[in-house]
Amino acid sequence: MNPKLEQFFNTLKSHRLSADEKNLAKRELMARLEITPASSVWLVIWQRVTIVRPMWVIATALIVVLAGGTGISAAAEGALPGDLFYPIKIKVKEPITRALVGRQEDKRADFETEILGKRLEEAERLFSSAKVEGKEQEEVAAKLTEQIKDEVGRQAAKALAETEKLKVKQAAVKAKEEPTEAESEQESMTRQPESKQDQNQTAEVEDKKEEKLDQLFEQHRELIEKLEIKLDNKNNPGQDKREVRTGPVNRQPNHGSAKRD
Amino acid sequence: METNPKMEKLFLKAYDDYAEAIFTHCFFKTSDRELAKDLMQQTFLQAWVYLRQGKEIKEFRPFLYRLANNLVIDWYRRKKSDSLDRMMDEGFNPAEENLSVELEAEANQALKLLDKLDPDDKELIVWRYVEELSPGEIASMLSERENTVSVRIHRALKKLHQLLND
Repeated sequence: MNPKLEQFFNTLKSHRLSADEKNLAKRELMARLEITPASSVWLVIWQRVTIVRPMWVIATALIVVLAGGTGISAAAEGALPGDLFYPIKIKVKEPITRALVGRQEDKRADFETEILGKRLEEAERLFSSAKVEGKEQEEVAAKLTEQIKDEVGRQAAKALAETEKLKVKQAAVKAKEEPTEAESEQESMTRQPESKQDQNQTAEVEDKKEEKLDQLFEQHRELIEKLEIKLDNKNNPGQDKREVRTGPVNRQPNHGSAKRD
Repeated sequence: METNPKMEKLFLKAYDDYAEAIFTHCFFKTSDRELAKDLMQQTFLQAWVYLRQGKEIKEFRPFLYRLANNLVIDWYRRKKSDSLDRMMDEGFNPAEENLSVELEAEANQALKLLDKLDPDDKELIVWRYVEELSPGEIASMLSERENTVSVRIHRALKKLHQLLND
């Protein structure tokens, strides 16, 4: 290109925005638009995570992960309400397992029933050990009792809900009726028509699950009465004294009473 | 609509990519450095508002150029309708911060020369030889064929050459 032209263009280029000017302008713009710099993206994510869960849950989850889960996980297994690792058990381990159990409803019913069994056993152990140490059951701190009552109630509701779902599903299949309220539309659409044999089998399995639940209730009847945990009346599946959600399992039903954490 | 990190990232990247181009574009249309910076900021501000309304920006460059052009046009309109005093004020070139006096004189000369071109030719020259866009890129911005653009650039360059030699 003609040198004159070249020089001409170079002169023009001298008018360009310098790096400093650009950076300054960029910062001004970001401030005005209230954009935080990229390094703060992690801060934003952190803030969102910690809104949903209290800090100690995150801290313990992190510890569990970092310290190589199995050791602590095993220790948590035997934890009772009031123990250090009990919260890890309830709020970290079990939710994870629950998520892994996944969508299969009969497995879910089993899972929740099993967990309910654990809750009841924990309560029994706690109260009996208190007795052994010479304290009366009443002396087991009121707060702990509230927690236990809460947790057991919650778990009972879950177990009942899952079992109910199975029952309802089964009933609908038998009668070939319109899907009931408890069934989502999607479930009814993906439901495969079951053979007569399957139906009978499912019915059996279904009954077994209800039996399991009933057994549990019977086994721990004293405790349940003592703690005044209200359970669903078996004969009126529609009426629930507690709000039982038939939605996703990991939703907690609403209690008016005990506040958690 | 809420701001999300992805939107911000996209926006900031567009800024990194096109801020200079927008500034240059505004500068050569107004011959006023501070004003050009201002218009550049306003351009991006408007783009941000657009994003926050939930609208999608498919291609930033032509979009930003359109915004910048409109801002420049608005500025000219306001300038025309202002009082004579005000016009005289704005006629003064603000001090060039980073250029020496000599360079400034030369730069102003160059600007004046450039202004002798048709606005369209001037735009092509600036895009091609100051912002160093390729003919293909320019063509896509103008929605013209690359060939057409190349020819026009060539003609504009010839005219400029002539002006320089006068």
